[in-house]
Amino acid sequence: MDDNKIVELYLLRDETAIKQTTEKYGSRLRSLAYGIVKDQQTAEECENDTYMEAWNTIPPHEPRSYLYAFLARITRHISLNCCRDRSRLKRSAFICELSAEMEQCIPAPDDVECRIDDMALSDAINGFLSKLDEEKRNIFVRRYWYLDSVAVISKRFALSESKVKTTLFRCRTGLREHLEKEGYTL
Amino acid sequence: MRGNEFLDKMELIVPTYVEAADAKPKKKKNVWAKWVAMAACLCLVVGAITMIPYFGDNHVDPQLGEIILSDKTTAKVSYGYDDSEVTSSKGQLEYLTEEEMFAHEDMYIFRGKVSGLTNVTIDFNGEKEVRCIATIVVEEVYQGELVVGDQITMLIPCAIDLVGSAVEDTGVIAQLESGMEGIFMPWVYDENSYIEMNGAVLIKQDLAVCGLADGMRWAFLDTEQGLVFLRSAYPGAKDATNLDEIEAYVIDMLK
Repeated sequence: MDDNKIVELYLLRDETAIKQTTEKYGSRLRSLAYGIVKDQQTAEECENDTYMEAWNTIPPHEPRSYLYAFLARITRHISLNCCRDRSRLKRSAFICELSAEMEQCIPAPDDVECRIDDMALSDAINGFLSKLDEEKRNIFVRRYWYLDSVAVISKRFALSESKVKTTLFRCRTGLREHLEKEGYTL
Repeated sequence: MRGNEFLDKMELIVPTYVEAADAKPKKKKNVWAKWVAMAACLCLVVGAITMIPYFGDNHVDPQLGEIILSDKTTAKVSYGYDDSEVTSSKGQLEYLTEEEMFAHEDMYIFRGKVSGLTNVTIDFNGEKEVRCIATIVVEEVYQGELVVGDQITMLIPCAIDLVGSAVEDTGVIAQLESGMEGIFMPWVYDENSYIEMNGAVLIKQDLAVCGLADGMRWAFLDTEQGLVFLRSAYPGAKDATNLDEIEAYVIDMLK
């Protein structure tokens, strides 16, 4: 079933929407969650929570042309929170590592809550990504959106780990400079 | 904002990029491989023909082919060297802090593997100098307009195996061998890079695209005896034992 029809089912409050979503995207969402939490049972819980959240947020959202990305964003959010909340997953070191890398992108890190709205921040991040070539952009997204390890990225793109690290380092520096140049205060 | 919050905000990346990153990466085609192979064959043939009259098989790298000098170069350049004719050049090492050594933008900084070494003799109206042209395949780029996989030429201020008459201060780089991996920091040559001696001029670009300023610094070599570099010149890396540690150090210095 195409995404438009699945979203239509959500809008009609037809519960087969979830069945159709599971059939079409279940394994990808589970795999995404597993990549973050590294625990099969927790990944399945994250997948199920994703369907629940999708049911609650469509409507008002109508992600007809980006249903997978919409669901994946929910899965990512839920899985990331699981890693933070459940110490038994032993993912705190990995999340800390990613957070430390992300902090290098912030021109002046501080403890104040984000000062700009999501719309402006989205423009800033995507404006920067649009300037990168396809491979660099994909590496950046795999690392900081899908939360892949450097080893996984290196295998996926057939690059050495040091090449991936160098690319990520340059992307982070580039993003910080972009944010500084455009005058964003995060 | 802190890093953990910014990590959460990465969810704002547009769906197009998220989907694109999840697609199977395009298989890299080695389209250049057949051209490299063909070019290598051609160079072998041309090199073999053109070099026989010069020095037979004495230190000739067939990859470089015939040395073609520009009009501005008045010195004579030939492959190989002859110990008896060579005069030793004296160089003075200018002191630089490690921060100063990484502050030059007109410098390539890269990791690469030596694929060939070719000694040359430069005749400045009777006063002869020896140099080596290293051909290096680029593996990682930290600074400069280089591409991984490029094969570049780098001028070295001594002949690599010229025992006893090497240029002063060439201790580190004189250990370079074909097949050796290293991290190099050569200056990028332009049309204003030249050597003038005894009334003759050599435009450096005629021999290589870049070159080391001296033979002690600017190179970190992964030799059979371990990592070799001038540790006193790079205090931040003085305890390094391998190239990966140097790589991390270089990246840190370039921040």
